[in-house]
Amino acid sequence: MANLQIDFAGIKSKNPFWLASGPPTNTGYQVQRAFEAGWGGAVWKTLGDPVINVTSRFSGLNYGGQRVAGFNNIELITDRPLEVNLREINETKKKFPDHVIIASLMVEPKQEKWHEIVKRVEDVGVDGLELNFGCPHGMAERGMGSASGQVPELVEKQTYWVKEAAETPVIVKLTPNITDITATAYAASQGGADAISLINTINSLMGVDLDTWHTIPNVAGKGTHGGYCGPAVKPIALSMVGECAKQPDINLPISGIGGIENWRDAAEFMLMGATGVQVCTAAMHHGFRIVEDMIDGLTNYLDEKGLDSVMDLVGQSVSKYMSWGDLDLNHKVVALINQDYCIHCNKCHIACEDTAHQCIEFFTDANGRRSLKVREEDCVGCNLCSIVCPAEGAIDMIDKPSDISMTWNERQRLLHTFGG
Amino acid sequence: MHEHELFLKEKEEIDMLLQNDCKIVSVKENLSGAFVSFQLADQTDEERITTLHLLTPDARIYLTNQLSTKKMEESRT
Ligand SMILES: Cc1cc2nc3c(=O)[nH]c(=O)nc-3n(C[C@H](O)[C@H](O)[C@H](O)COP(=O)(O)O)c2cc1C
Repeated sequence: MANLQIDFAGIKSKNPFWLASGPPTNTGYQVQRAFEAGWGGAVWKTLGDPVINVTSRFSGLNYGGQRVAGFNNIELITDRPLEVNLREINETKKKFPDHVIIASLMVEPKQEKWHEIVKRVEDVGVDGLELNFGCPHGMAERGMGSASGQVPELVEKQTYWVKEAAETPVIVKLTPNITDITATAYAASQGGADAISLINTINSLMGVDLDTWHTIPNVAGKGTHGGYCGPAVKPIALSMVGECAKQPDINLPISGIGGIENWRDAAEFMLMGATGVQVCTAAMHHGFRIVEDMIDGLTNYLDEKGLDSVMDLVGQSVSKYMSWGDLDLNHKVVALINQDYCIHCNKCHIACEDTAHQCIEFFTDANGRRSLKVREEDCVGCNLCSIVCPAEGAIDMIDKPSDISMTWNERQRLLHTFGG
Repeated sequence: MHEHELFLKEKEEIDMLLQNDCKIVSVKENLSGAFVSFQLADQTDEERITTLHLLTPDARIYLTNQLSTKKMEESRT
């Protein structure tokens, strides 16, 4: 059976599944139950000067029958005094010495504040520190969270201050609310970070109530922007993880976060360069026990792939994630409609006719039935028909290999020699 | 006309010129597509016999495939 143990920046964890800092890791009671359920580690709800939260705080995006396709919150960091959290961390660590506890920290961007909190949390036996430079709401208005995390100089400087005092590994948690996340990832590495974690939540407004015109969620009729997470953000998070992983001058272990719900998502993040993953929304939606399927699923997957260790997955897809200019312009895929599975809904025809390349047309089959087929030579292989098709297996995208490969970059170099 | 038909027409024009001992001497791309100038292979002066205006993306990549193949052949001989 494959080994799920990871070594993340020197932190050994029995599996790559950690709970991300948030409501699931608010208290010792919760973290202990999570460990009993099988989670390898937990990043404690961010510690700092205790806040006062508002109600209501969360909202969910339900999309086409799927509940919580996205999730938005305006919750701040912990509202409990540091001593209470430290006592529970200490108790939890004693009861679960083989499980990882990371203290998530957020204080004002002042050297003495960072030194103080680092010492106090390390004294109770945490395995590492995560610097929360990510929350986009509330704390940012006080100069913390993403307000710090969007300025590479502040990321570097605060990481440096933490490293001055820290004895355990320092993970810098990055905000996605920035044009180029590699800039702050690089700043973290320059500040001496041992690892990075990404992403925190994405700045968002969930909606507007059409009866009351209040924004959602609302607090006595008023609202504010919040942090977006859950399955909807996974593609954004995955791309940001890939961007950091392929940057040679960042070269730090990555903890992947954002929309991870199951072992497949976790495996994808690891293939894109994450050494481990963190989960928040999925645990809030389905409870701690989702980790059981994650452990089983990942173990089976590794066994099927003939891999001994989950660490063998880390980064395997990174070199396949290129610049657009390095993709082969001659590679062609075309759509093929499988008449046995087609339910004749015509969605592919409408999509292609209205918004693509007008290459799916009607014909009358041998039984006199009006059917659809692809005019292959005009198909540009955009995939839209197969994306909108509701019938599994009715449209396949078929590879049409080409003898010659030609990327945009190669083409431009070639044309340059012809005065182009 | 379907785009593929337009491509076939453009491809035929490129093939015809290349088969008739013409070589490509310049390719200029701009907002209107690609302008490909040909001259007879044995001609040394600047006189161009024709300039093709390629509209379709398939023809523009076909053209560069031809150029690349030619380049590879030349480097082998
Ligand atoms: C209600 C809520 C509260 C959160 N609080 C924190 C926090 O205190 N500190 C932190 O670093 N991230 C916090 N996060 C962000 C999560 O740790 C995580 O980065 C984000 O939700 C993306 O992961 P997910 O899609 O699995 O939820 C919070 C998220 C939610 C939904």
